[in-house]
Amino acid sequence: MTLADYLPIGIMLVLAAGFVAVSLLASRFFRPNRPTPEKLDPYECGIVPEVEPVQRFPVKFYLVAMLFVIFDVEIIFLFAWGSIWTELGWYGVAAVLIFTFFVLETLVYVWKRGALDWNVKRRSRYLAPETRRAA
Amino acid sequence: MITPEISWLAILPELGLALGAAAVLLVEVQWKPRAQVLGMVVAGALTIALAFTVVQWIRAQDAVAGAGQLGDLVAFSRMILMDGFAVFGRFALLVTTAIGITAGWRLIEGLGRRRAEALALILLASAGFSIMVSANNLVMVFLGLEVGSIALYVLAGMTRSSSTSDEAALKYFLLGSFASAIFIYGVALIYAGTGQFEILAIRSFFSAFIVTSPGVILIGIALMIVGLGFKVSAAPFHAWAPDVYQGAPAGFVGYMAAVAKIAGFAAIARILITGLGDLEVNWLPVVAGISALSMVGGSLLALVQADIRRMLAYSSVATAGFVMTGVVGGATSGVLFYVAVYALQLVGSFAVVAAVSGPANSASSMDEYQGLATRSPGLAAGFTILLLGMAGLPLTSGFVAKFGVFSDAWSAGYQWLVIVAVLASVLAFAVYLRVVVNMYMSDAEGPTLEVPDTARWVLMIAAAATIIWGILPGSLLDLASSAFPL
Amino acid sequence: MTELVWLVIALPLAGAGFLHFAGKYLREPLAGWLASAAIGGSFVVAAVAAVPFIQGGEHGTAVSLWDWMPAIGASMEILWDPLSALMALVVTGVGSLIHIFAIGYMHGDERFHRFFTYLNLFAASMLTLVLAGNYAMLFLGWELVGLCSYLLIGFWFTRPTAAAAAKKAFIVNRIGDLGLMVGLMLVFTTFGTLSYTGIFERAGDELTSGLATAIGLLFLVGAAGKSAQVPLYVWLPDAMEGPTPVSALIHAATMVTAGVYLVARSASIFELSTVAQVTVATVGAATAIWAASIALAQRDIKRVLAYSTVSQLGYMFLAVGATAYVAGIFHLMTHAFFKALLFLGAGSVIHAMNDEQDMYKMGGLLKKMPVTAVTMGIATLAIAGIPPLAGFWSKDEILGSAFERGGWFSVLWIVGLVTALLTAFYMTRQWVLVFLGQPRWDEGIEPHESPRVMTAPLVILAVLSVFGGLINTPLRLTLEHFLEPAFELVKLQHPPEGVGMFILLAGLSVLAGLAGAAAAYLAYNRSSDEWRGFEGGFEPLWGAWEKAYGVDDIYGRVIVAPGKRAAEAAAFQFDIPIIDGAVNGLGRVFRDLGEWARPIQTGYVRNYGALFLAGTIVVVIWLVAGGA
Repeated sequence: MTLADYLPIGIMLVLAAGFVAVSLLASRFFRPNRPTPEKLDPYECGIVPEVEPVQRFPVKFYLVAMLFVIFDVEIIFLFAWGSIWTELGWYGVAAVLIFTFFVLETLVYVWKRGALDWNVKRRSRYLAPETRRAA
Repeated sequence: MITPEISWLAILPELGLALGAAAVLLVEVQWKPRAQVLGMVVAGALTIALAFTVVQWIRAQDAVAGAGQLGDLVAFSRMILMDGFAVFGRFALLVTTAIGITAGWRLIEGLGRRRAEALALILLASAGFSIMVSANNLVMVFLGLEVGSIALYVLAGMTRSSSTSDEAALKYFLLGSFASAIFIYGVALIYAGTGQFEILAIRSFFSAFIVTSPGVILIGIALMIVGLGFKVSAAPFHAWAPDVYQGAPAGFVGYMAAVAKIAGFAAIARILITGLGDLEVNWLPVVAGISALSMVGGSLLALVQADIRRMLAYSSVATAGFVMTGVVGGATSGVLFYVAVYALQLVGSFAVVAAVSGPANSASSMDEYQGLATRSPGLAAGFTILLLGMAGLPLTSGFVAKFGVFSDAWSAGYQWLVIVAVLASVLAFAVYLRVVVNMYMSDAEGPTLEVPDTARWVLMIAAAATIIWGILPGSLLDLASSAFPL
Repeated sequence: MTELVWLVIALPLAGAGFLHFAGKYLREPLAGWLASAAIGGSFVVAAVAAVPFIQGGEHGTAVSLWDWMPAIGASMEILWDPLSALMALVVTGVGSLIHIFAIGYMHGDERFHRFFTYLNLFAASMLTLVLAGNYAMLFLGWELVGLCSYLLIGFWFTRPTAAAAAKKAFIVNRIGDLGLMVGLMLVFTTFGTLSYTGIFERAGDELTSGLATAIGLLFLVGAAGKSAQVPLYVWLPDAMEGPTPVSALIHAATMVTAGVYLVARSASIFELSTVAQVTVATVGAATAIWAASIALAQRDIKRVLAYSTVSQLGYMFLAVGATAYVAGIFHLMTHAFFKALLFLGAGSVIHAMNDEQDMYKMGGLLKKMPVTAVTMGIATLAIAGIPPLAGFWSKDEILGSAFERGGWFSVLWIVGLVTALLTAFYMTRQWVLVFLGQPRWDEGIEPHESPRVMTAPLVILAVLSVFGGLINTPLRLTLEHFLEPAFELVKLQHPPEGVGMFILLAGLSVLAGLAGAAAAYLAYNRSSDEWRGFEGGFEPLWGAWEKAYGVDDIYGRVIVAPGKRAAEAAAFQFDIPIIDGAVNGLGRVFRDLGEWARPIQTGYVRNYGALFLAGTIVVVIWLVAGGA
């Protein structure tokens, strides 16, 4: 393996970077530039923002987002399995069952623990006594 | 398309642990039972895993004796090994887990409804490390390492109300991720150099070819040594250890340190001795250097600690160095024996720490041990045995272990390392003796200590093992020496 | 009976185990009697098992108990031969008497049973050491007696001096142990085993003289640590902080002789190296005269005996160095009798004087405690080498052997002769200071004779001190014939033959002893002003002796300061000049090194990360550069 063999990767890198640069530059040159105050506002679901955004978001947002990502990624594994499941045979079935069991079991646990509840009260039942008092 | 040939037996212990973890969580959210019920679920999972391990052991011994095929021991698409080495490591891990959970039981009970999470994390950590000791594929090693390590990061921060615990968890996580990244980079470079991920295939590669410009491979080896050296807290990659040992809840530290050491050294021994044995001229000096630095540095720093947990942390750095002399000597059985007996001593010692300064507490000054002999004679006596065992006093398992690895290193031509090791042992002796003196030769103050029964059992088992394997090491030595890797 | 010889170790071990768990439920004297019974039983077993050796012709047998680490020849096996039998008899015999004595001495101590637990544990450890059939087991016993010694020196750990002395003893011993350990490694790498039988039979063929020298010198380091020889003797005087029975048992009669035993046991190795022999003998002779001169000027009754022990051990080293092993072991035995007697007598005195140890505050005790006085007087004569007491025969055999060997050993012989003079002087000085003259007691002390349980051992030991030497006189070499099978692989050094030579040499040493004793009697059997003047006449030499050659000013102040303060300061300021400084210095160096490395641990993750990265870079560069 010589350095020349890595050349395609290098070309790929250059192409990728070039594409981004070209796209950004092209839009700058070709688009009409007519700013209005509305256009410069932060975008928030099309609703006009009435107050400054609060500095701290509840951690719930992140929790849900993280759970979402976990289940999202799970699907990727299932795609891979689904594309060759006939060839994998019963082994594949068993493996994917074990896999989905653990994912679902996690879902059951977080659900029962109240991670999907928006209501803090219910979740706090599960905290250790000292933490509950602090919360 | 290939249909992988599957030997489910190869992963049944890990599967048992993982299902146990799932079961604990589900039982907890469904019934919210008393802690004992969860304990029984965990005990069941461990028993099942141990039973399968025994079956694996018999298979492995049969295969070696010629009753089966050696090829059967490479299972699961050549991902997992069932050789004696792997099974011994698994067994040691499982026993350590059982004792570790017992040692931390008071802490687990005190965690309230989060106790199921702690138990599940412990089981998952053990499953991960169990994969790590039995992996044939470097990516599997990494996978096991990560499963185990991430669980340990969370365990370190399990007492959320304590800021030192949080700090320990974060430090462990940051530096641990750093080390994992370096390890996997090393794996990648090995793959770049050899085109192989499998340890056995790497061995055949090096016995078949002579690599003329091994630069990439050598960097890969170096990075893997660094990554695994971190996990076993060898100097100079040990900086996390004192802070984590001190900050993490005492009930868990013994377990955390012990399983990481077992798995880390099993991986080091397998990768370096089995996989890269043909390149040993290259890595031996470096490993010997790390070993010497760990022994001397760890013992010296342990000598000046005022906190018993930091002292134990540095002494575990020194122990990492002692075990590494066995890696230098190329003796896998000596390494296994050493980590197995040390794991028990470590768990027992932290059971004492947890009993003396509270399972969730993170400071345990040496002063708290003054006059422990009068406040709790049993605890002091047991702790003394463990400390003397770690120091390597003759007639303790620590002596047999040290003697084994030292003599291997000696006959491997590393006499200077053995001399350094013996000198460091003398230093280490002073370290441990300081605690003993503190316990026995100071005025007693304070009331009689209340020691939980679980801690007593753990201490009794660990102390008995230390003495029995010190006087009659034959049983364990035989096991360890028939636990050679493929 | 030989198969049951393991009982010799097992009995005291069982005693220790039983007392450890059940001791606190036993009433006071019972624990002591139980412990005494354990070791007494051990003595009986040893005596019965030794009968075949007395009848002669037996070579000894190895009794294997169980395999420990068979790969290195380190199984639990007992070598029961005349040498180990004799050592076992001395340890259990003298040990039993000291156990019984301690029942009276430790009366009223709140940790009475704990004391006897340790004593029994010590006995078991010491017996493990002497009965071992291989070096691994010997080393085990070696470490265990060190541990017991540590526990017993620090028995009264609430006294800071005791704790400090215990620590000091342990640290100094570790230095010696290191030498022994490295020596054992050399033995193992050479022979591939640690078993006595394997090593000694092959030593002649497989050991080069260079290697034998190395092993011998390393063993000497170990022996010097345990047996308190120059330059590692400093711990023994401090070890007197322990209860007096401990001083008698461990620091006079048994443990400290382990070094002599080690050399005698390894005779086959020393046989191959004249350098090692000469070094051992020289160290012994130097220790003998060095410690004897210090003993001249000590005021503490136990410190006199401590330095005397160091000096007498020097004699034994001189003997085994001159390959007069029988003479060395003979002196070991007689010394065990009279030195144990002296220590127990001193204990009796200290007991009577309400823990006063300063001889300048005694005097005139002869009438108050006649049994103690007479028995101690006998021991004094014995150690001074006055015939026909025990010390005369053994010391004379050593000196005669050194003389016969000639060359450099003639010089050592002269040193030994001078030491004999000094010995007689300081021992007589002690006896006169304690028992004769006017009482110089502190207020409120009313000395009384000790109870029967304490005086009975004194009497028995006195009898042994008188007649013990008769087992090996030039007329009847009973001990020599007894021990011969154990030394058949080596050439033994003997005193010159012929009646004329014997009378000449014995006459010289008796003369030295008489001269010393007479001088001390004349100097000290006077008013205290007069003998203080006598001592002053030797200034500044006397001061140097008194300070154990220490030049430290603080020490002078300390030794003048009376009683406890002196004892307290002693552990910290004593003996600092030469060895102590080095020992403590070494410890400090390590601590400083540790402290120096400490700032690396900042607590900041960024620093840890940087250290980690630096380490990684070093490892990578090292590996890659090493491979290129």
